[in-house]
Amino acid sequence: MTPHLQIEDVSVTYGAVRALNRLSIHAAKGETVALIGPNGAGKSSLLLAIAGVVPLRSGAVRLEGRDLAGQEPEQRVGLGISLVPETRDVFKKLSTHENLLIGASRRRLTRAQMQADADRIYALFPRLAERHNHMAGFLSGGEQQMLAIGRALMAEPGLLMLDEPSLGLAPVVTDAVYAAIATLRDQGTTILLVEQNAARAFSVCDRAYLMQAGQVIEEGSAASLSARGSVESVLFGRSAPAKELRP
Amino acid sequence: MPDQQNPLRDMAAWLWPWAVWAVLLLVLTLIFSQISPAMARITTDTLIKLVIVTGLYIFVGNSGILSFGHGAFLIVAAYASAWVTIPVAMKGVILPGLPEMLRGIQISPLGGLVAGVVLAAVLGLLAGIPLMRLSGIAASIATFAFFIVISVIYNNWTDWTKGTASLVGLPTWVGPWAALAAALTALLIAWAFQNSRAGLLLRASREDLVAAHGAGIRVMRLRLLAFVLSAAVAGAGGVLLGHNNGALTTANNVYLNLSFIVIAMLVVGGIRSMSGVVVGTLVLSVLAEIFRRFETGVDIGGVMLQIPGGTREVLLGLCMLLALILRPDGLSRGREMRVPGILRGTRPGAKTKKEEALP
Amino acid sequence: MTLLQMLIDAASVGGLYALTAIGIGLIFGVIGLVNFAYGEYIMVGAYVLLLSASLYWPFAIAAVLVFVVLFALASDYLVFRQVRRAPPETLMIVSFGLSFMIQHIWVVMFGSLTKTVNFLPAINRSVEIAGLRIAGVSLLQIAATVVLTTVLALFIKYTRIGYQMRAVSENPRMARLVGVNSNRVIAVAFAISAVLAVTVTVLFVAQTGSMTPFFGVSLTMIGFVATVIGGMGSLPGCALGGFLVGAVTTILQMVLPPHLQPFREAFVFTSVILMLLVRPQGLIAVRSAWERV
Repeated sequence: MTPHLQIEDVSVTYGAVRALNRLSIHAAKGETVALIGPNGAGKSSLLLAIAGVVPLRSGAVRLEGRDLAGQEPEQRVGLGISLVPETRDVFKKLSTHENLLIGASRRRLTRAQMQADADRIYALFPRLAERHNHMAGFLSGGEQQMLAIGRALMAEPGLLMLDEPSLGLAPVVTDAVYAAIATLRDQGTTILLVEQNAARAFSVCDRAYLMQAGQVIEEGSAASLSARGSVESVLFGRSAPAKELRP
Repeated sequence: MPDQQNPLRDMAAWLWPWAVWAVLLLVLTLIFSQISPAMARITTDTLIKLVIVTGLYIFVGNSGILSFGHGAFLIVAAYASAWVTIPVAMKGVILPGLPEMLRGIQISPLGGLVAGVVLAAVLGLLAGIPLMRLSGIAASIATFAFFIVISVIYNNWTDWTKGTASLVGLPTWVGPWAALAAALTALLIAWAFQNSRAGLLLRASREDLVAAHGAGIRVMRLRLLAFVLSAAVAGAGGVLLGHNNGALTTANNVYLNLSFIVIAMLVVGGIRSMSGVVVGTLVLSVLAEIFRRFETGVDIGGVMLQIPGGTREVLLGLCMLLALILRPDGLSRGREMRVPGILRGTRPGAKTKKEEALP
Repeated sequence: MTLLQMLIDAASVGGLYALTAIGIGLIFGVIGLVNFAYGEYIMVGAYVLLLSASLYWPFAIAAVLVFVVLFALASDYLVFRQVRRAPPETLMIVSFGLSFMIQHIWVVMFGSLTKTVNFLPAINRSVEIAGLRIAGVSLLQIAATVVLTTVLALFIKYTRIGYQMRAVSENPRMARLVGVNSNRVIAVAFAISAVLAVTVTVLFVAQTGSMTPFFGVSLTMIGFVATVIGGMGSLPGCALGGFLVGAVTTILQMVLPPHLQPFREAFVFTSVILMLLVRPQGLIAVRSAWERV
């Protein structure tokens, strides 16, 4: 069965710096996969590469078996890939509502359909409904995070990628965000979740990859990784030897 | 093998990027100035443009601010030199409006050059003090406005400048060798400045103004220094222009057009490096000359090739576009000549820290 | 010359500058490009008018519209699209090089001497309103500026392409990441700026009746200056800048003694420098990605 997302032997370089080093991972349809690792592990670079913003040095990104090479970022949105970047990047000069609407840019919707979809996002994130007329630049960090996710959802993605959704958020707000992620998981969206907060990530994911220095160090379910204590090694600097990738 | 302190070798390493260009320009001048008087003129012309582009570069390359105003320094310096070097008898006839003090004196060409450079530098200081407070596009527009102001003044100040009519009588002491000497000096000044503490600090501020202020760098002062130095060198170019032509005029937007061509040469060459200055000037000058030849008709193996009148500018513009489309940071990509290993005192092939850091 | 007459003159001249400034400011706002070739959109339109002047005037104007819009779109597709991610000074010289090329292509095609055309002479007639004699063209200029600026503002605020344009202007990469077809949005911006250019062309040619391949250059300069004074990130700012330059020019025309009149441009540009020193971010300051500190 072809995985929904397949990363094959991907390398990404920024000049002389190798951000991703012959990395391979996969995600099945409807799976929630977490990428855990310290800063500089290459997690963000991987998401950017999948989104098409960063070019591949080698390797391939496949969506349902199809190689995405040559597909521009906006075309990938059309194929069902949505990214919520680490910096959130809400359009500060657009209103909350406009930020949501623009998320549906790739879909051909009538005004009524767009409003209906937006209403569904407001149901998921009531805080946004209250602020729907405000300029997005004035929203709090947590609200911007919700808006960024809501905007990504307006594209009806088959694959949703989230880069550190809990970053800089208060625990209460993070709860709300992760509740939403859990809901999406239950609805069958494939989710690729990048986190430094391993505990949070483990609470929603089916499987996780541990990354370090552009490579996958380990892979497994949340339970098995916790049991092995691998997460601590990776996050707290005790360097683990680079394991051979699975064939 | 441990690196031994060798001041002579260090000096050679420091000079290398400049020296390579110096030798190249020397050789080119040697060859081309001998071919024919017309070629000598073209050589002189190109070298003078090089002086002007270098002057512009001293400011733009280090501060990152595009100045559209350097034409003002060309004008001011050229006319200053004219006022003190045109023979007294001629001045009485053609510039009767000139005050007695200026009308009565005539000094050597070198004195004229100094006068022009000094006046340009003073103007640079006076204009720079308010202008350097601006950044980015506001600064560029302000420099452009500054140029227009000076240009309009000189255009209409008929007593002193004959307005838009040609001011003749300048002693024509500038030939290929004088121009070469000026060009090499200008390039050396630019090289010295960009590697000096002031130059390096200024470049740092270009990348991140806020961080530079935070680090205590007196950005305004450094910019002013660069601006004044740049005005002086550009002014020298203006003086050379005048004494090459033997006449001066502000008609037909001559200085405006020159300003833009000079900026184009700098950007096409690459605004971040001295090598860019030379590459941009040489390439565009050569192309301009080639296209000019094709307009008058070129005999290739018995076949006369000629392009219609007016197309040389079209082709030149097209070349500018192509160069920038293919190399958006300029032909030199903002890099300088690579210093060979032996001068750096390292193993051949080893990279210095600076080169590793280059993007 | 009453004060009101002077105000109308200022507004009329300012209107033309404002339209030019908005045309330049729109492109700058969306892709950070200072389009030195903008004056050439105005210039080539004038020559189309030269060739089509014998047609019934709506058809002549339509011909100009079609040609200039296509011309602007071609300049984006062939040239500006190739340098989307280039540094600002490169963008400037690319547009300058294009401007230079177009001017000289037109010299080759039409010669550099002035050409004249009699287009819609009727609108030059003076109209009497409330005891004042006003040139019809002046009224049209003011009306066109007000109408077009308002329509454009509404378009940007309330339509889908409008918010897409604002998004691309703010964060081009994120706009692509949400699926916005930024090339199409940018093309629309070019088309709109072309429409504005055509308005300027028609009014200018109707008023002066003459053209050379180089007449767009000074308009571009003024438009550019007006844009910076007004505030480059905001369209109302551009318009304001245009009116301001028009006002200063007209006032100086009235007020300067005859022996200083030739220096009028020097005064205008000195006031530009002063305005920038007082408010470098422009009168209507909008913090955009291109201006820092």
